[in-house]
Amino acid sequence: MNRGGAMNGKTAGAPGRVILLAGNPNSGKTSVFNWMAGAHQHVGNYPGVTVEKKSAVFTRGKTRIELVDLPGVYSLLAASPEESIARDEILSGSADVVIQVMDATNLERNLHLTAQLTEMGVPVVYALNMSDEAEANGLRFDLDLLSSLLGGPVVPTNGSNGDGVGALLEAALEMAASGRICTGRVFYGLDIESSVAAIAERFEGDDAVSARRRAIALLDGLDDPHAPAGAVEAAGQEAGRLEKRGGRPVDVQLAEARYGFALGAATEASQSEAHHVRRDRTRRLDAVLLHRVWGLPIFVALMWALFNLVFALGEPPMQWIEAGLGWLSDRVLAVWPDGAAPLLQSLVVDGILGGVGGVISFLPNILLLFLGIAFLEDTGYMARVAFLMDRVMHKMGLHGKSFIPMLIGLGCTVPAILATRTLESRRDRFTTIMVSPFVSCGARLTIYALLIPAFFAPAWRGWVLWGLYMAGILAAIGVARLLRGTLLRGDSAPFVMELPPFRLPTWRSVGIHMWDRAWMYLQKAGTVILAISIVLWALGTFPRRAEFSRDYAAAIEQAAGPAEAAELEAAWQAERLAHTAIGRIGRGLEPVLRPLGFDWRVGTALVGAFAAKEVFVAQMGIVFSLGSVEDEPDSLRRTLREQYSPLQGLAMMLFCLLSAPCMATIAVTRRETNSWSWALGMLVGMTVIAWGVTFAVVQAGLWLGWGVP
Amino acid sequence: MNAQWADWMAVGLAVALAAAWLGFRICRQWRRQKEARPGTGACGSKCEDCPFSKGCGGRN
Repeated sequence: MNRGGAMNGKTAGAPGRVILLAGNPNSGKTSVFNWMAGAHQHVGNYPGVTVEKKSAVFTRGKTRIELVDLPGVYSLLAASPEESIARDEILSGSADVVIQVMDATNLERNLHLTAQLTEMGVPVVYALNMSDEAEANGLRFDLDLLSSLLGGPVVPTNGSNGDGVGALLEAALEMAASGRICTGRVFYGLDIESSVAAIAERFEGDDAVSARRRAIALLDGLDDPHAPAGAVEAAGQEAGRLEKRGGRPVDVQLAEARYGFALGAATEASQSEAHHVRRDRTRRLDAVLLHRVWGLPIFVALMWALFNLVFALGEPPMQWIEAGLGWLSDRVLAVWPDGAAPLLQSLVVDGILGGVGGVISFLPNILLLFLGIAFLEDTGYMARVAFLMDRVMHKMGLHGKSFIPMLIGLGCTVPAILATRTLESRRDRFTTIMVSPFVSCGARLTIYALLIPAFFAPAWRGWVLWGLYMAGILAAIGVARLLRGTLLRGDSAPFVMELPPFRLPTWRSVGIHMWDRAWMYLQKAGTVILAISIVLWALGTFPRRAEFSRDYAAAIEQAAGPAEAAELEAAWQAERLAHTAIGRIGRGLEPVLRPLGFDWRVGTALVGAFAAKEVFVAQMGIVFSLGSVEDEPDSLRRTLREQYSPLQGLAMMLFCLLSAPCMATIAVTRRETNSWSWALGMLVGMTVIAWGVTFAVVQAGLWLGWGVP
Repeated sequence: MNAQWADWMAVGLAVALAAAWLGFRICRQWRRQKEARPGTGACGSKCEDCPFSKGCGGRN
C-alpha cells in the first residue's frame, strides 16, 4: 500500500496502530477525525485516486497511531469509486481496527453499512455520533444491547465538541489489542445461506470468514478476478436458483436482508419518546403490527383466521379425494375375481388404500396451511412475529431468534432443529432444540385434519385447531423456562432480529413453496408411509385366529335383521383383530392408556406414530378398515364419531401434540446435541408431559361432564 | 391350493420388501452418521465455511 510519506503504524519501529474511519457521508466522520488526530497534526492527501482519502499520524502515550479517513459511503459493494476505495482499504489487512462513525439521529440507515462491515472479518468499534442531537430529538439508546448486537463496543460521541472521542480512541486501541474480529451478524435466510455455503466451499484456500464474504460478493454480482472458476460458476447457478425461488434479483434479496438487519437492530436498541410521523409503508404497518399491546393479539387473530380457512376451504377438495379413493376401492373390489387371493385383496384395499389413502386425503388442508404461512413469510410478517415474540422469549431466557426455528417447525421439526445452528450460544441452542417438537408440524396437522371434523361442529373446528397450536407454543414456553431455570441456566446471547421491508409476495414464490410442500408430502406418503402401512397391515392381520368365542358365520345367517348381522360382523372382526400382533401390542399398552380414555386401537396408532406422525392416521384407517364392513369414503370419521366421544378425540390430539416426536426428530436431536441423554430426555420427557397433561384434561372434562371415555 | 400359495407368496413378498426397505433406510442413515468425518457437521456437510457451523454440535 503506497501512502506517499505517511507512516504505517504496522511497519514503523515503535509500537503502532492503524485505524480506519468509515461511515456514511455526513455522519460527522471528519469531525471525529479532526478531534481524534488534533487540528495541528499532519494531514496528508493521497493523489492518484478520484476521491480524497486523508490520513493523520499522532501518538497516544507510547503508541503511534495512523488514522485514515475513508471516503463516506453508504455501502461497500464497490459500485462507485468511493466504495471501491473503502472496501479495498478495509480488506487490504493494513488496519488494526475500523471505527464506523454512525449518525445517531438516523441509526437505521447507518446500520446498513454496518451489516456489510461485519462481514469483512475485521475488528470494528462504533461511534454513535451526534448522540446529543438524537437525545434532544427524543431518541434513547441501549448502548450495551447495541454493542452486543453489533459485536463491538459502541461509544457515544459528539463531533461538535469532541465529547466521547477520547473514549472512542481508547475503545479502538483496546479492540485492536484484543485481536477480536467482528464476524458476520446478518442472517440472510435459509435459502440464501445454503447458497452462500455452497459457493464458499469452492474458495478452498480462504479462511471461513473470507470465503463467506467472497461468496456473498459473487452472489451480489461483484467481480472477483481471483475467484476460482468453480466458485463463479456456482454463484451463477445459485443466483439463478434464488431468483427463480424468490421472484426477484438476488442482490435485492441480499439488500433486503441487510435492511432487515438494520431495521431490526435499530428498533431493538433504540426507543423514541417523540411521536414522529412514520412516512413509508413499512413503518406505518410496523406501527400497528409491532405495537407493544396489539402486536401479539393481531398475530393470534391472524392465526385463528388462517386455521378457519384451512377447514372451510379444505373440506370440499378433501371430500373429492376421499370420494376418489372410495371409487378406486370399489373398482378394485369390483374387478377382483370372487374369492381369489383374499389376503392380497385385503393388503391392497385395507392396507394400502386404507393407510396411504387416508394420509393423502388431507393434502388440501396441508397445502392451505402452508399457502398461508408462505404468504405471511414472504410478506415479511413472520419476521415481525419473531420480533414480537422476543419479549415473551426473553421471559423464558431465550431470544426472539429462537422463535424462528419454531416457525420452521410448523412445517417439520427436523429442519427446525437444524435451523437452531444459527444460535451461537449452546444453552440457547439446546433449549430451542428441546422445545421445537412442541410446535405442531405438518404431519400432526394430518391427525388434526382427521379428528377435528370427526368430533367437532364446523363452527368450532378453527377454534380447536388454533387452540392446539397455541397449546403447543405454551408448552414450549413452559418447558424452555423450566430448562433455563435448571439444566441450561444462564443469560441468553444477543442477536439482531431482522425486519425485512413489507412486500407483496409473488404467486410464483408462494407457488414454489406450496409445490415443495406438496411434493414432500406425496413423496413421504408414497415411500415411508406406504412401507409402514404394509408392515402395519401385516401386523394387523397375523397371526390369524382359527377359533372364535362363537360360530359367528352361523350366528350372522340366523340374525333377526341387518342391524344384528352388522353387530355380529363387527364383533367377529374385533375378535379377529385382537388376536393379531398389533392387537396384542395394543392390549399390552391398554393399562397405561386407559386413564387417558384410549383403547388398544388408539394405542397401536400411537405406537405407529412414533415412526412418522402421519402413520397415526394410516393405522386408524387400517385398524378400522380391517375391522369394518363399510366401504364408504367418509366411514373412518363416522366410525370414530360412533366409537369415541369429543373429549376422547381432543385427548388423542393433545397426546399426539405433546408426546414423543417422530423417530427422525429423536435421531436429529441426538446428532445435533451429540448426546443420547438429550435425545432420550426428549423422548421420555415429552411422553411424560403428554400423559400428565392429557390425563388432567380428560379428568377435568369428565368432571365438567363433557364426555365419557 | 395353488392359488392360496400364490396369495401367501405375493403378500409375503410385499411385506418383506417393505420391511427390508425400511430397514435399509434406517441402516443407511445410521451409517452416514457414523461415517461423518471430523470437520463434518451433523448435517453431513463440511463445517468449514458453513454459516451454521458456529456452535454446531455435530462431529466437529
